[in-house]
Amino acid sequence: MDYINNSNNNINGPDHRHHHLSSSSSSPNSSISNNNYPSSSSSSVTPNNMEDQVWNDLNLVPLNEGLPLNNNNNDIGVYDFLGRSINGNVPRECNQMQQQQQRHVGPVLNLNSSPAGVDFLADNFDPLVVSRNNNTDHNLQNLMMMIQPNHNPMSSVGRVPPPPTSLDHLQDGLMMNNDDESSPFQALASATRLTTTFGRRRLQENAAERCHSRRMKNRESAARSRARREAYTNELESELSHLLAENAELKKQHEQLGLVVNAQVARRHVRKRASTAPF
Amino acid sequence: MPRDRDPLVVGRIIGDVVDHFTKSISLSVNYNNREVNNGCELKPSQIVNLPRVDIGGDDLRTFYTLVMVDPDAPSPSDPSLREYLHWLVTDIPATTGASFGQEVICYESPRPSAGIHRFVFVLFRQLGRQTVYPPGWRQNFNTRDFAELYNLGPPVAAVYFNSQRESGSGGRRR
Repeated sequence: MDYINNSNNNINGPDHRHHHLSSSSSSPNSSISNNNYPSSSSSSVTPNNMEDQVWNDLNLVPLNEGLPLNNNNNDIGVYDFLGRSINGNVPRECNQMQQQQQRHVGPVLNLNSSPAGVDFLADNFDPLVVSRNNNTDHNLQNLMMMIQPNHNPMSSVGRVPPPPTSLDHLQDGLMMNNDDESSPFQALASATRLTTTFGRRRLQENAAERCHSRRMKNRESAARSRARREAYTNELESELSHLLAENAELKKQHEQLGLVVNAQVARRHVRKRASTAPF
Repeated sequence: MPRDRDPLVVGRIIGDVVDHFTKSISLSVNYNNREVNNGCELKPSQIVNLPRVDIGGDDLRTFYTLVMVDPDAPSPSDPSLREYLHWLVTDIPATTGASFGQEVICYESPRPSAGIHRFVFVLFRQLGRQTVYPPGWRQNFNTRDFAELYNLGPPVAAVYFNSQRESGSGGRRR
């Protein structure tokens, strides 16, 4: 089942996937018919099979109504199927992606996103951050690479024509890569795991960081307290020893002085004969 | 006292404010007749007014500069304004007190709001009478740079005390 097909309204369903090659006129999902391809007519077509039905149901779930397109990573309100914050982007012909376009479009292709697919696999780029990157085809390519990890990216994507203005080409590229009926699902599943796990991990990381920094701050504060206490204790001890020494010194001096004074006083009390003859 | 037990080292004054030095002049700071010992705690209400500062030495022709800074502004865990200059007095003749000098930056009562702050008095010997230009603002003062700028050399004495919010630590953060 070609999920990409269904997520882009006008991509043909599995039955047609080998035939179509251009913008399909009949879209399996058009009950979701928000028709974003001006180039292809989107008529409402009943689902071809069970799988399509499932996809339809999924797509029918109202995606982030009113959620601003540029969600910041930590602020994740609504998750779509893939765990990406939804902007419900419908592939459009023109470069300027209508950012408020939210319904019905597949969870997967967020054409406004920065090349998250490759980046976050490579380094810690947050797929939940949506940037106003209008490089739709590039994004799409990257997304494809992301969702089809089993395929050699170059080979699978290589055939996507460089800067298409029409999404049809993109669809073509996408279509061509579905060799195996089950692989898109697998790819989708793995992509899902990647994004939701990643999103959750981000949150956990942030919480852990905060905890960690709080702990560090507390540790520093405790160290400062200990230093304070120790410094004061040292000061008091040194003051004490200093004062004790001074005291001892002073006492000694006092004693000596006392002796001297006593001696002098004693001398004064010694009776001496003075000449007191009246005449 | 062995170097590592010196309260100035343990309290990180030597390190945060000045470098190692040898005390050569006596410095006594008194708030309301209460002498300041290194690391003692004073309340903001006790340090509202100018302290009495007496210095030692012997020659009236030697002049000293006194600096009072708070290296823990605005808070010890985040001292972004280190050091905050509270008082700067120059041309203090030896054996006299700060009241005999030139008050370049007037005394500002410390009002610590977050955490327990250290307040440090540092005494430098001047080469001669000199004009000291006041810095444009009190915060982010650097005692080391100041000493270098005016060729004051290493400190000759230092003393510090701690102070925190009047109501003490703990309780609801405002």
